[in-house]
Amino acid sequence: MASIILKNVSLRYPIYDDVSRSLKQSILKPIIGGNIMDKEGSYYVNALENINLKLKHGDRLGISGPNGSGKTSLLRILSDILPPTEGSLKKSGDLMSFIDLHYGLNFEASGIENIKIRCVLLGLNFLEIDEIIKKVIEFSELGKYIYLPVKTYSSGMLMRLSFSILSFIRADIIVMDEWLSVGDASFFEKANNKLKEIIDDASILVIASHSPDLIDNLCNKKITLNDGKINEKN
Amino acid sequence: MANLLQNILLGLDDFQQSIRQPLKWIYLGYIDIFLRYKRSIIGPFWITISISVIIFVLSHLWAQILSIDFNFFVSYFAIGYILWYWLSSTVIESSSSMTEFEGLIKQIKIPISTYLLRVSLRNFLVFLHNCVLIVLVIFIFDNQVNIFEFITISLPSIFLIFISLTSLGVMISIISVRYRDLSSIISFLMQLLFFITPIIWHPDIINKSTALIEYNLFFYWIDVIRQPLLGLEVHENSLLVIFVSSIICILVSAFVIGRYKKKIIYWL
Repeated sequence: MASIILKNVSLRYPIYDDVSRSLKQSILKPIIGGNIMDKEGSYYVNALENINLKLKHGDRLGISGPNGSGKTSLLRILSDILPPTEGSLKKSGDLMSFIDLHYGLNFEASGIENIKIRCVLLGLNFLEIDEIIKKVIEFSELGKYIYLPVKTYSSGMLMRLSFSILSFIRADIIVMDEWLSVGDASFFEKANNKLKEIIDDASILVIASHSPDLIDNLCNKKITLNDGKINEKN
Repeated sequence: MANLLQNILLGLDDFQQSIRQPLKWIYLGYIDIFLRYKRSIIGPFWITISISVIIFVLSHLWAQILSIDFNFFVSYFAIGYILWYWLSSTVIESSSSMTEFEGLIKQIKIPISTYLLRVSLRNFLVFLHNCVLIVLVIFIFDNQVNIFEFITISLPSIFLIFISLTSLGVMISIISVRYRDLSSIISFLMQLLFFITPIIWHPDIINKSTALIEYNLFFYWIDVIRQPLLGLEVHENSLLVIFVSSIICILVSAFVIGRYKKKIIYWL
């Protein structure tokens, strides 16, 4: 059964300046002396502070909050991409993130090759990949474009490709930054239904959104973030 | 001490995960090369062509300057230079690899060593392209290859060198994402190393053995493959040096991964 437990998680982004990023300067600093710079990485952005969360099977968590309140940072921590500065994350179950659909795309490679690249990155084997390629070709309706380099795609077509690949992969935990709206009128409907299907199949959903209606519709748990702290919980 | 061990174990675990998911570097390394073929029909053979020009021109010049037999020097220089190209391009590409894969590192959780294995593999594939040139030179100048030593010593060494290079790449890539000027220092150092490693000159020119050779890992790496191909014998402790250094490389790079793995994403 999928579950996520966040315990006292804090996240600080260190800010590096040019001097501390230079090996030459770092070596020269003690020789030249003086105290022009403070200690390296003494500037931080406090993105999250003391977050405690427990999610279990069936939970649909909606995260709201103004820009810069730490929504995406929290999603990144849940996706195991950002290691928290303090605290711990315990997670069981596969996770799929819909934060950025286009990662790993190679613009020189064709649509088909990009499907393969993405699937390999997601850890599938060649048998599964062949299966998915067929489904994606059909679902994305890209026609002959699927054999052309991705650099020839419009942004809408790129979305279709990336979304179609992810839509055929099932995961226990789905992490999403805002509801995805993909493609033109005809595809939008189809993609929307697919997305709902994915979410219904998932054990846990975590979605960050600015739309209260969306969160009310989808979620059975809500938190509001403010300055990296959980303000409301219900 | 306990901390050191813990970091090494953490790093070794990272390696292990990469080996368990080989497609993530084998397929993607292959795709990197495949796409070069897409851009031009002969793909990485462009590099082979430019290397062959360098070898031809410089062999003429240096054989005269050093007054060595041209036939011997061409083989000596060609094999050394092609090996060197493999080693140095892997090191130099490693130093910028974290920024190259920044988009991936920030979106998906993959072991750090997977990225370096990919860089290592694609450079090894380019090296295999260039090997055509080595075979050609051996045939044209009719070298008596020491086949026994090549199979028993050189081939296992290539495997060990691949591992050491990848480990070295791990260290370099992680440090150079923290210190952004390191990658330009590295390419400068590799240039320097090219001149002080016996590639364009033969160690016999210097009467006394020098530290440049004795403590130069790159020399051992090149020598262990070059000697048998020239029909000569490998220096007796070459294999030992390569073997021990590869273990050290793995342990140090495992430590670097274990120690800094969590910080890399914040440095990017």
